[in-house]
Amino acid sequence: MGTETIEGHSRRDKRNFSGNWDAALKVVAATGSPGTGEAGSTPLLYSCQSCSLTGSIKLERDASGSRLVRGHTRYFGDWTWDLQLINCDHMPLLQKWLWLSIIASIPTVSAMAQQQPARDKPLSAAELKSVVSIDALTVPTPGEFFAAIEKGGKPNWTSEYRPPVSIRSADRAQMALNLGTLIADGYIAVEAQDGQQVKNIGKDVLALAKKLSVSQTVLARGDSITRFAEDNAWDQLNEELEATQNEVKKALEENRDIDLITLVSVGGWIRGTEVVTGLVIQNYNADNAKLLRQPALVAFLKNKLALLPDKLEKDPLVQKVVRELNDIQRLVSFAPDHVPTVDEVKELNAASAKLTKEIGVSE
Amino acid sequence: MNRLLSAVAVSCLFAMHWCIAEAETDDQVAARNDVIDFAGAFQNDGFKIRDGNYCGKVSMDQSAVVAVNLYNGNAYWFTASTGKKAEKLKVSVFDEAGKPVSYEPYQSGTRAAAGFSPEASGVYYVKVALENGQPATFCLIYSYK
Repeated sequence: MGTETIEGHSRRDKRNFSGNWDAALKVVAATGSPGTGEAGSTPLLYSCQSCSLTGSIKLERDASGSRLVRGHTRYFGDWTWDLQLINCDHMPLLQKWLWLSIIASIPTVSAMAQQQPARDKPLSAAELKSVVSIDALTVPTPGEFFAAIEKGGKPNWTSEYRPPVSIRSADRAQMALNLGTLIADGYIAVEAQDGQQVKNIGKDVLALAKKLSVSQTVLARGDSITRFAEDNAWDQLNEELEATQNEVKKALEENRDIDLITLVSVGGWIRGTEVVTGLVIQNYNADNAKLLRQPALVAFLKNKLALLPDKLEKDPLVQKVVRELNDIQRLVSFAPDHVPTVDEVKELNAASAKLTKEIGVSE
Repeated sequence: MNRLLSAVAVSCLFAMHWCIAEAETDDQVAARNDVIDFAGAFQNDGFKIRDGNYCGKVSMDQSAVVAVNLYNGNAYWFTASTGKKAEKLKVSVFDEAGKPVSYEPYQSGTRAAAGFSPEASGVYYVKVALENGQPATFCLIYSYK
């Protein structure tokens, strides 16, 4: 049996590791539980005994018939891609598992190839009433918004940069709103593949997070952001930004600052809307314009703002945000088959840009 | 003094209750780990996994419905798992009126998924239902590209 070395690193902390296939195969043999045939990609679990990492690999073939194994490693939920050339002849057990995986995946892949017509019953009134809306899933990330607009061609992301915002404010509501807008800025810099800008924004995000007294774990994200930016690891940065935002929210929750979480989401969505509308105006087409339809999302954010405690509700900036979200809600609430005109997009752009500016203005 | 002690005791009880209420159960951790493993398969196709998740409970007569806001042009996979028990889960997608939409189904015991590409941006509902088995804790995440 060969002793090919598995090398890789996890996405978020770039933890280097190495293990050998003998060790990996011993684990597979001992547990007998590699994942097979899941969702068309036939991941095969492996594990390194020396460093306790687990990961999965996927068999592919190149033109010459060599076996290329795409692998990604997992370490506390973090994933990475590493293309690895593996000689399967040296690894009979692994080869066996790989072929079993492929065979197992055939029905899965073919079943997934076709979109099935809707055969489910409509949701009942009781089900609609019990719908769960949570910040972590109901509010899309700026990254999702930006991924959608990239379908129509590479936008000019740098055109959506803005001057650095002041982070000197002592108003916690403003800090939370600003944090949201800054995280959206981070996504823009990632889309623009501008490492220096990512690092600059990362520093501002962490400075604000620190002022909001979030935990040390969030601050540790700063190092990852810098490292990924230096390595041009754009996909990882995209995930890192969302993870940073979620950790900030989690830390706010732990600090009993749960109300500020809504403001972070609101800030991010407003800045994202400003950016996307700006890009739609630059390259107007129906598909891009239809992206702006988000009535339920604004309603969700408004409902959360309505639940803020008195002290925050009376914050002048929060009151302004609530007022202006009413206008914005009107602009993003249109029928599914309606295509917003250029003028309508411009109006939404102006409204969201005005609000972003107001959030960024120092006291 | 007694009043002060009582107040401290009540505060401690409240804090304990808060901590317990917030703590993740083993079932939630197992379900989340498994669904992340499961969704990793979609990363091979360029999907980005969202960092957020929702853990809840399902039984054969009680499903869970989560609201998500999606963008036309993006493709999504919604994945759910119970992690360890041998239930039969199902994930399905509905439009803003609660009507079913066409989606790519995937089902394998404790794991289920639905692939969906919306033609219109807006709110959609993702339903996680248990078709067979004992009540269980599940975890739902989604990925997009």
